[in-house]
Amino acid sequence: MAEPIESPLNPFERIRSTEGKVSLLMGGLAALCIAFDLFEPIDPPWTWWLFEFAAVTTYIALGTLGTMRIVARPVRRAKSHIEAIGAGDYTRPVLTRRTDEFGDLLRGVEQTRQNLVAAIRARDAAEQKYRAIVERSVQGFYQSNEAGELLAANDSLARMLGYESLQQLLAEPAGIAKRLHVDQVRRSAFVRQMNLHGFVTGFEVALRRLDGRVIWVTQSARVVRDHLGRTYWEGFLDDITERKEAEQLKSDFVSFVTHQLRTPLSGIRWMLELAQGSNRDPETASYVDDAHASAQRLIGLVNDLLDVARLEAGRLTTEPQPFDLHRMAVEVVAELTTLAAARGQETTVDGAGDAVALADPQLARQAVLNLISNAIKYTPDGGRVSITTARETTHVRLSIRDTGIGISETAQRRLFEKFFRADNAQVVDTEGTGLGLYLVRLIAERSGGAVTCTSVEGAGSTFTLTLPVADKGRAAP
Amino acid sequence: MTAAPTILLAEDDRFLRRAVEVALTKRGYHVIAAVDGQEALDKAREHKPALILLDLLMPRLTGMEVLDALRSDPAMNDVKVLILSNSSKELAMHDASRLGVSGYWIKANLSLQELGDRVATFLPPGPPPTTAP
Repeated sequence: MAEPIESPLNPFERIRSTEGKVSLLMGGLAALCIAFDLFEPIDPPWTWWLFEFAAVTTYIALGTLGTMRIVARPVRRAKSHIEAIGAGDYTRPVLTRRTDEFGDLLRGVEQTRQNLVAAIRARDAAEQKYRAIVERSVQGFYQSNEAGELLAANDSLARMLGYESLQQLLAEPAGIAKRLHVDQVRRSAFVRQMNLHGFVTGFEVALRRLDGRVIWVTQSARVVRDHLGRTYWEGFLDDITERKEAEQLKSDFVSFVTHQLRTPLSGIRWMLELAQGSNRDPETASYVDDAHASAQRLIGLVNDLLDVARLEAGRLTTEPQPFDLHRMAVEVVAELTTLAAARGQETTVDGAGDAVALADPQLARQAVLNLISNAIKYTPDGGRVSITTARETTHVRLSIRDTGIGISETAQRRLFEKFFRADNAQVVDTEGTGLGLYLVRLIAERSGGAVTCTSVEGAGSTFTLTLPVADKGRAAP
Repeated sequence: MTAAPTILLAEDDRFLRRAVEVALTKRGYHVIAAVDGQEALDKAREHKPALILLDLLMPRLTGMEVLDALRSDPAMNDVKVLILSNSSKELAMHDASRLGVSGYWIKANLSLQELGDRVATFLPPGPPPTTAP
């Protein structure tokens, strides 16, 4: 640490203001000159004038030098300190005992220096902390420039890509990204997104490790601009190979269920259907009817599980196309007429005919069917189910209001969870699986819409399904 | 009396094959059954059916291979084909629509009654048989 600079404390320094000091100095000298003039002889000789000239010159010189010392010295000191700080030396403290404005100035410089030192220490600490986080992170980290050179990386990335050390990875020549990617089309898509948006999140891609093994990673990256205006890419990679393999297993299982389970189930159902159409005694007929209903229920359950698995895995390719949500509701109600009529319920569909949604019609139909059949199922005999459709600015809305058993507040919070069944629902319908509303939620979310519920237990419920509107350009009526 | 229109049913599961055969025969169709893809192709060429109900996952030749062969056969390329499968894989649906099928139905989602109704919209049945098969 450099030697502190300390100003001497003399009585003169005790005068608070600089003007006071300068005035005292100049006034004192002027008084000396006046006193000197009081003793001017009647007819001064030339030597007197010489003396007088010398006195005035001394007065001016002393005044100037004194003023310089009082004013210029502290300014120079402040300047030297500020220059030192500017040159990056923050270690020299500015000490002063001066009490005037220059003392304040020097103390101000010292305060600024201390603030700067604190800020630099905080920055260094933060940088060290984040560097440690990046270095110790289980996520792979990299920085690369536009030429495709790796500027920085961490140990995790080196391990993930099969390198023995970080140095070995960093020694790779430019263009490493191209060699790593299994699918160049996918890599181009990544580059395109980075150039277009400046960032990419959760981008799944297959990479080939040094040992040739293929791994799956999800990558989040952004374009960063340094203080010189140069851009580089910074990204984090997560190894998701295990998850991908699990997804593959799940997908294989789903395919197995699809074909291997549904085929014999269809056989049972169809044979029972044929048996229903043949002559039988009433007792056998009732057994066949029950077996048929049971087979149908099992097929429904398998289908629901299948849809859930496919929607969850994101494997169900939705094909959004415009369709009339109002007409769909009318058709679904017509399909359920027998069910509603058997319970003496009144079902109405109101709303304008311009509720044209943009979603996958097959999936949307399933959501609408689940919601309306639920309303009928959980509304007591003689109740009412009122359906309205409406077009809003960005969405079309389907509301289904019933006078049913309602849903408790506690149950409402968990209503759209997988396998959840409200207590009062289990009493009314023992056969439910807890998949219906979960499916509705998956379908709504997959389509860019939402499903919500408001309900009063014992009074009824209103379910609202929203889906994106087909023609966003047109204003809502 | 008009002859019953001919439907070729390609289905490897014997229970499903029997159920569809019985249901469609009752409705007034002449049903020829095939137990695998190769037999389906042979019987299609031999009988020139008005409509083919085609399963996808079958031994020897898959439904898609049968469809491919039919579409490249000048004598058979305009025959109406309905896929009757339990696979709801989007890829299969896409391929099937590319090869010009008239419908893609999931067996598990259909009752025999619905299947018969839908078939009738593509091919009106003949008079129902006087005796049960």
